[in-house]
Amino acid sequence: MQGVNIYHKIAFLFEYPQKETLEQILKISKENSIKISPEEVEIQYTKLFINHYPHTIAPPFASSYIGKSDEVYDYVEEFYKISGYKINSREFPPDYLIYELVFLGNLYDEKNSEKESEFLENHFISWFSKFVKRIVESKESEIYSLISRESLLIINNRLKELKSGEENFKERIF
Amino acid sequence: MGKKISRREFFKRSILGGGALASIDYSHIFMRFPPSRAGKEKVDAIPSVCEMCFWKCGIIGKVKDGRLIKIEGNPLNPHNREKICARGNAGIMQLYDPDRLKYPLLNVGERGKPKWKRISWDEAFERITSKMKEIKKKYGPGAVALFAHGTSSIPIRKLLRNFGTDKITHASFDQCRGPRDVAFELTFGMGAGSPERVDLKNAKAIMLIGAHLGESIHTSQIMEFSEALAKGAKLIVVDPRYSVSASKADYWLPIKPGTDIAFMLALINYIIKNELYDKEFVSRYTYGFEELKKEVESYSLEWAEKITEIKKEFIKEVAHVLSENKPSVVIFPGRQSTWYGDDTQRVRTYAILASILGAVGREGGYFFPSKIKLKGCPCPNRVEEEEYMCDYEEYPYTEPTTECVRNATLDGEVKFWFIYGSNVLQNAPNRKKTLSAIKKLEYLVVIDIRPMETSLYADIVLPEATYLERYDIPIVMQDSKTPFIQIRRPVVLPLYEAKDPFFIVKGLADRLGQKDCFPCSTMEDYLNLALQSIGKTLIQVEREGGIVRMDHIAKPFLKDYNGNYRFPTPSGKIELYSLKLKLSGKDPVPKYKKHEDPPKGYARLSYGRAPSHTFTRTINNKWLNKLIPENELWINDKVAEKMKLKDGEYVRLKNQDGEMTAPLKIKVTPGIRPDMVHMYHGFGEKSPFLKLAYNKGASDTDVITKIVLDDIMGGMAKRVNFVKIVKNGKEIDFPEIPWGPSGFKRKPEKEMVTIKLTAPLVEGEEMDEGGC
Repeated sequence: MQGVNIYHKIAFLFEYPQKETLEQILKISKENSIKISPEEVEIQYTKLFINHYPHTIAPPFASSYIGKSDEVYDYVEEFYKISGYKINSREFPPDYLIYELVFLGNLYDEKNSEKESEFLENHFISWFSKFVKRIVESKESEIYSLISRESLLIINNRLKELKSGEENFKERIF
Repeated sequence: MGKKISRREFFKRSILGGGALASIDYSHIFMRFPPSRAGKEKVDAIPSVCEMCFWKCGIIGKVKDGRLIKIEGNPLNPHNREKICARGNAGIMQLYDPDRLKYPLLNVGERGKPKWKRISWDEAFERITSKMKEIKKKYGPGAVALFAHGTSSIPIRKLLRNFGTDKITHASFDQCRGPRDVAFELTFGMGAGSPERVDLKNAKAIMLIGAHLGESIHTSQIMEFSEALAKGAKLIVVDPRYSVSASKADYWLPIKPGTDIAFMLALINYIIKNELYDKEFVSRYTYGFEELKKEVESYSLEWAEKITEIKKEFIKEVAHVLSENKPSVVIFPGRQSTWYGDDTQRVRTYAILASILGAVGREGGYFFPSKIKLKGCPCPNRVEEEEYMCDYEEYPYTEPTTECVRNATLDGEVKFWFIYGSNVLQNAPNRKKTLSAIKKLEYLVVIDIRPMETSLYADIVLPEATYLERYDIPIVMQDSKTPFIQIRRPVVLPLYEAKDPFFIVKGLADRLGQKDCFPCSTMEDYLNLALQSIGKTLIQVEREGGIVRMDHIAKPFLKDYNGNYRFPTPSGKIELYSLKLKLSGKDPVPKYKKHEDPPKGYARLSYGRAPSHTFTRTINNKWLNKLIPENELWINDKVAEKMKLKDGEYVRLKNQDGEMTAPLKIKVTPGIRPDMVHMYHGFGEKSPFLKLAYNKGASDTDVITKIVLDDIMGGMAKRVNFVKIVKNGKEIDFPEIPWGPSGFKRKPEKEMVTIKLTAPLVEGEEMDEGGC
């Protein structure tokens, strides 16, 4: 049975911190000596990604960082489709962080390195790096700074590997 | 550095494994799709009803793979047909506005500087209802109040009446249409309607008094207005500002603000004295003509010229134009009509003028509504006794108003507010007073689509689904010559955790134990029950394009009643002399009462709609914000010259109470009187959550602090404030520049261009049609 890929694991950590996601966040916090209560994780998540006074710090949508929203929606939906996928869930706009990570994970699982590399290089990393920067620079959340920074590092490494033609991402990371 | 490496290792290890991670399953998010089919997907066309303003245009949502890609007009809709305005088109950006509310939020910080935590709908309902129960037990149901706006707020209004409170306010009544509707009720026994029941299309003469069609854009109304002008209808615009309508007018009469009643009474007097009225109509359908005649006889044209600063020749000419075209005359009722505090009487003069011209129940004039009754899912009213919160003796035709509820809150009677789709800090005069009331509350719940300013002070904020994601109760268009019912339905599924109003109200009702309130379980059930009344089902109506025409019940004109029409007033006739007002100790026939002039150094503040916006609610819309991102201050060119103010520079306004606006850009124009300034309402957003709207332009409400109530319906007048200019921190007085009796008419041409106008007047020029 195939294990859960790294993109899906990262996506899982950016879900709203309830149940298993919350458990995992608390576990990572503990292992990294970050003291935080379950309620504080929820508050920090809300501040960063949902609503915060005066501004939401890092909305988890590509169009908050690059381009016009309708153009970004068109681009990602079209990219999903030419890569063989269509969004089934309409709970969020198509440029939602978790959708994009899940999509990358799907490409990874089916070893579609060409599309994975193209999506990372032409779209994902450009906005995800800005998203991470905002989280880190806001200093609002130690745990989400850690998660986002490390996620970016992992994804950047993956792109390097894809570009160098190596195919041992899974072995090295997992 | 060492710590960093160590953390990275920990992170990797954490993310590598753990029982929880094994359960990740994202297979539901995407489905497989043959890449060769990209670009060839089917586009669904889903009929629904717009809510970018309140006009209720029929729309078709074009949806590709669950995403809304375009909005068009619904050709089956007898009003707007295939046309929609800029706002209608931009509905997509309301749906996909990144700043919209997404989840129920609990404020765990302080009011005004909230610290939010996302909570579940269950938790939100539990918290809200336990507080409501506690308040009801301690203070009674009347300690809970609601500020409601829009179709979607109808279920919660019913829920709260079922809960037992009558403190339900509508800004649309007490800060907008109330005087107009009460005036029409008193005169004709029925309101003016929404859409206004005016047969613009067939009018031969149209008089707009302070109404600026073309800046307030309601698609079908503008379509009819354009059609009438194209057919040669005469247009008379009474407005101190050279509005878009004025640019199309045959007569532009720049009236001195606050003197409209004087103008109207003199006009009525002249028409009566010179027997220019419809005698047969007056004798058959009106009550109190002799009393009216006697009351207005002292209002001469000479007297009116001095008061209104409109040349008496023009008042006279207008009287003849109206009379020559009677009965196909529209004296436009207006919409936002809380101006000076005697507005019910002012609009009564419009109704009276239309009546003596016989322009009621006649083609090209006012027409009658149809009666469509749908049953639906019940929620009985449990308000035992209307509380004596508002001064019904002094304001006999009032409803619980913002002012009443604010006062009751400051007095400690009201402890809990629901604010549902209403921007109370921006729509009610004296925002400081509103804020003081909010600060005294024990609990504030805000339900909205966007995080407006009030959400900063809320204990709980709930995200409502947009009109594109929800069903609403049936939309009954009985104020139409071609009555119909239309259904607002979701064109896409709700984003995030936004919910429809019925879900919200049911969630509250169930936990409050109000089991007799909406016993049906979904809005679809509600709609099916309602449509049963006309022998239809929801699926049928949806298949038929979302519209059920009811032409067979239409009886818009007197001729449809074989001459046996009884007006629903105490006398059964149009009450030129109001028996109800007489009984309440008010003037049964309107009288002119002088209003305060601007003090030396001040100008009167006027405000109005921006054509591509609906108040504060569309300023954050990306497409509409691009069209008009900020408002401007209209200021007379001679005044600007004396004050050394330049077009495009930024100034603030400071009012008689020392309150100031944010900076706004000056627009120097000869098209405004020197004793006033004008700005679009809706700008100067104070909610930082709305990134595009935040701090753009200035809010008129900041300097609308004086409270003057309409003496009949209790609404708050908004044109009674005076301002000075503040430039670089320094106050500048307005100079006194005499205007003198004036007026402009299309012919002879020379007279039309005696002042330099901002837009050329071209004979026969047509208004743009609805698409903006």
